[in-house]
Amino acid sequence: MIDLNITNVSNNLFEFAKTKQISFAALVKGLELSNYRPEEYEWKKFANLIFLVLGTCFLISGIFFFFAYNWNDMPKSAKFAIIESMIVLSTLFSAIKKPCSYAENYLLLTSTALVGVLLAVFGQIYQTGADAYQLFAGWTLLIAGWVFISNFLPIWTIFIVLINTSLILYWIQICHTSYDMPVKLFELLALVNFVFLVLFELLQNKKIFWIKGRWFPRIIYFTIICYLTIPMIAYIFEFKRMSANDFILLLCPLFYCSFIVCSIIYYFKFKIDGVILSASLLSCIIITTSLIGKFMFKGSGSFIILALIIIIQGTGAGLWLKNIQKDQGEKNETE
Amino acid sequence: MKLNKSSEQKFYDIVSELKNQKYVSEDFAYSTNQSESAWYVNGIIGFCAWFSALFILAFIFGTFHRILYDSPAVIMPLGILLCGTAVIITKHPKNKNNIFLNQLSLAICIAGEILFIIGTQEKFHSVSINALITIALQIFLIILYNNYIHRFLSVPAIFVALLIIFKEINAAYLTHPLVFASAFAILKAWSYKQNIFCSKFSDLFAPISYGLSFAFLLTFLIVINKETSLYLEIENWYLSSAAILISLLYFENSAIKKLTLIRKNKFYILVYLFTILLTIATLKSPGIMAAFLIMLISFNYRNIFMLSFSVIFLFIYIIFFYYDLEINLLMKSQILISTGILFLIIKYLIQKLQFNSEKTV
Repeated sequence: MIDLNITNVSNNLFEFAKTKQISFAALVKGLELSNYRPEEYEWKKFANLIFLVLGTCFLISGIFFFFAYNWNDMPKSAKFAIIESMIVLSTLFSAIKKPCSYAENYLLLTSTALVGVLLAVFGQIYQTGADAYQLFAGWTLLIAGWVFISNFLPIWTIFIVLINTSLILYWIQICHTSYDMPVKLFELLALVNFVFLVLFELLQNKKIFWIKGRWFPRIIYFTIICYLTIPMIAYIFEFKRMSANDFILLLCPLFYCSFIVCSIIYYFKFKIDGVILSASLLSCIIITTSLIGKFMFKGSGSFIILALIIIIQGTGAGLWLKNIQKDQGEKNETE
Repeated sequence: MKLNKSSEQKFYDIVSELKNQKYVSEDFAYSTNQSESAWYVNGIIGFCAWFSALFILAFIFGTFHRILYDSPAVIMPLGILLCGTAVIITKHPKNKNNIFLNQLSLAICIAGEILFIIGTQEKFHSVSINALITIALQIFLIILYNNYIHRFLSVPAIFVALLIIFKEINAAYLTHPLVFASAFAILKAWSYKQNIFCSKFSDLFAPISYGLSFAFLLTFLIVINKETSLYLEIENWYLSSAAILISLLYFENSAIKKLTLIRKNKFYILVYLFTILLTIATLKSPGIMAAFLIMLISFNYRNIFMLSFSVIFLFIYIIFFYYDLEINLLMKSQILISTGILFLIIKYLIQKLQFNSEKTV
């Protein structure tokens, strides 16, 4: 949507002006030459995308609200017929549209959302008393087919969100655990998301045309790091209680450390990504500080030591990331 | 920031062209390394500084609690002392790029500010006076304390303090001039970016313009959310909407000047008309148009960071808008479906217009 090459060039021109290496007139001319302000066709492309995204979102949420109204006058079969015909129509239209066009992708996205509506209406009509996880699991399974053949990352994102939601609800509704912190669930979720992260990176390395940009792996990575950091903090502060309960829970630090080490090596050595590395470092800072705080805390005087330790860690992380920023350039951003 | 190959080539071409046209001297040598840190570096530094500030405060209150409890008058000067120390640390040009000292000074400064605010509250026992003093302190620190993260955070802090004052003096209507002033300031700041970068205030531009945009969008979220203690019973939201509409039309007018085809074919009338209609439809929810304004500005100046958070705010305000509509689900669904269809039709028309305009060329 935004040509980052132009952004980088103009940022450099601004930097020169700031350090008085070029004059005001040279800056203005340079910006003009770099197409700093978008051209007509870029505005049209932008408007096209905005209206398509907003239009699709409004339409889908409108359909959700329409069936949430709980119509009493409408026959059951009519409700199903409306939703099912909409699913068929949007999927058919997406099939006849130009492959990988915005229209094809957003029509498929609409079908994905409509499957959820269909299941919700099914539950509403027949009052099956089924647990909520079944709805989400069913939704996930039913859309799996076109998710796998789709070339659109937002649909994959919805698919992953549905898997996560199904697992969380299954855990809450079926597996009643005695622990306050569902460590096993977090580990399982981290593992599931890790599979998608690995898949994405592998396919991106193979230069699959629709697997581009870095927002997708970054979101997945943040999710994994949260799933691993939260139980680690609980592990540090509630070690005695947790270790008495389950051996698998003791593996929590092993999972955490191996994931952090592997991801830092990969995103530093093989595919430089400053954002992912900063997330890893932030998690490390939190865990290290928690460890030091837990085992070295002796009165209020320790707070100043902890403050200094955090600053030292932050400095180290900042320096390292700045070096990476220099090396990385905007390579990944423009991919 | 080191440029990648295609950016490097483009940059090289531009510098050559500038040399040809005598804008820069023939012997002009350049390196494409930028001194400014990426957002994720600033993020991690800011996060660590905030956390250490909390620990510094815990240390001060834990160690000197008896002194602070017996004579609260000490808290305010102690806060000023800490803020002063932070300013002195960054004053030395050698310390400007020292991450450790920058972080330490930021942690000390944040701790100092919190102490100062606690101290003023102890002294004056008035929320309004405290908020007023906070605004003054933030303005002083923006000028004196050269720290990107602090300057960025100071602007939303000033906005929050202003909203507290509006609430305390029962003058919620003052939010409207605040909205108008900030929308206008954002527009002017971005349109004069070149001039600011060539002046001695270049360091102020990025943190303050980002801070202002963020605070501008955040304002609506704070005042409309009934869950927050800053919820303001604001009537006549149309005043803010009108202010944003004026800013939007002003911006669109300046952006369209460059777009010859749109100007020639008089499509701009449709753009203005659509903006006015959308503002009327969301008259009681100016956050939506505010997010639109920031979104268009960030696209016009190719700022992906601001564009991303304006899109997030846009979705938040649309959700709030429909959630707060006092109509039943059926009506809501009808409005949503018809708006969705309308937007898709507009999208289709834009595509067609593009086709026609290309044919005209």
